[in-house]
Amino acid sequence: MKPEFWNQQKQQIMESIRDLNEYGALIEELKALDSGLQDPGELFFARERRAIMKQIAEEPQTTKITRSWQYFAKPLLAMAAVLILALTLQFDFFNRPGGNQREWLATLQTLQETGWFEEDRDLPLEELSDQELDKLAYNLAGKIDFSGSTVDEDLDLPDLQDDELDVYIKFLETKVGRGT
Amino acid sequence: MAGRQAAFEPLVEKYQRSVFFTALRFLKNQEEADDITQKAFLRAYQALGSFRFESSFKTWLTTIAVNLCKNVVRGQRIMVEVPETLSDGSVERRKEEEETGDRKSQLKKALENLPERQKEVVMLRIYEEMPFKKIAEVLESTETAVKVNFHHAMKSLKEWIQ
Repeated sequence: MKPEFWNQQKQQIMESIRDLNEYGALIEELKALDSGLQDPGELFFARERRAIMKQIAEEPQTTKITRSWQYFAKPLLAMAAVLILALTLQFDFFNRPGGNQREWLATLQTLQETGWFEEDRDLPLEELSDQELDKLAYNLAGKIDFSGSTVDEDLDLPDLQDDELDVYIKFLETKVGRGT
Repeated sequence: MAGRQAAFEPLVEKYQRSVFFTALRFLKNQEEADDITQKAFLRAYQALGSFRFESSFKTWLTTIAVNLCKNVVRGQRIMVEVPETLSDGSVERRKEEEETGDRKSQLKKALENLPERQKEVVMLRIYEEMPFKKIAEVLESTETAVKVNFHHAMKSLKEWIQ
């Protein structure tokens, strides 16, 4: 190797050491800034601790209840919604042309999977009339292809009503969101 | 319930100072740091059931505290936004201080002027002496991003005070 190469190497190493030293010194300086923080003392912390424990004691026991309510209520609400929907529609839905039990169950399953029974979804199913629910489920069961290719090719979007279209778009968004 | 509280008190005692000083570094105000410390422990108590033991209790608690501090800082930033034309000379005064100030105050100012995320990383790394991995957990970021932020922060600080 030529001496220039070694000189260059040496220079680089010296620069790195200088950088490292500067970096270390800077960290020390920054640490020194922290010493300016005033410790309010044990009395302050004892008072603060009492305040924390007081707030915790005042914390309504609902903390636990709320958690367990949330834990159990969500699946229960979803199940209740499925049951209500099933009871509302069972009398004439399965007799409709194009509708069958398998599609109906698939519809419900999709509704559950896509979170439409959750509280914050946009379309409140429980606010729809029996007729609207009936029509919605019928349309979904008949027009959405559950085999994975998202939609029936013959689906004629203008035929759908606003509510149905809304649900349909949400279904597609969910499908896209899930990468299917 | 009383048993839960009793079990929680040693945790408060153990981590109270750490949470308080973290908040104090972020907020520079003892009263606000006190408030955040109390809130952080209350939140931790409320959410203890959802603690998944994926991080240490201290990391989890620090995350809660840092998030609370960030909310306060964000609120303050909105409040202090005033039209520049209403300047009372404080800008000029600050400029003068900067020119005459010593290295320590320069460094302090440089630290203050860092982008928020870089400042957070520097504080947690240097003052809390947290490993980068833990900082990433606290800031809900990645270890690489945290390292990059730290590197940029140190570079800026070095340039600033030179």
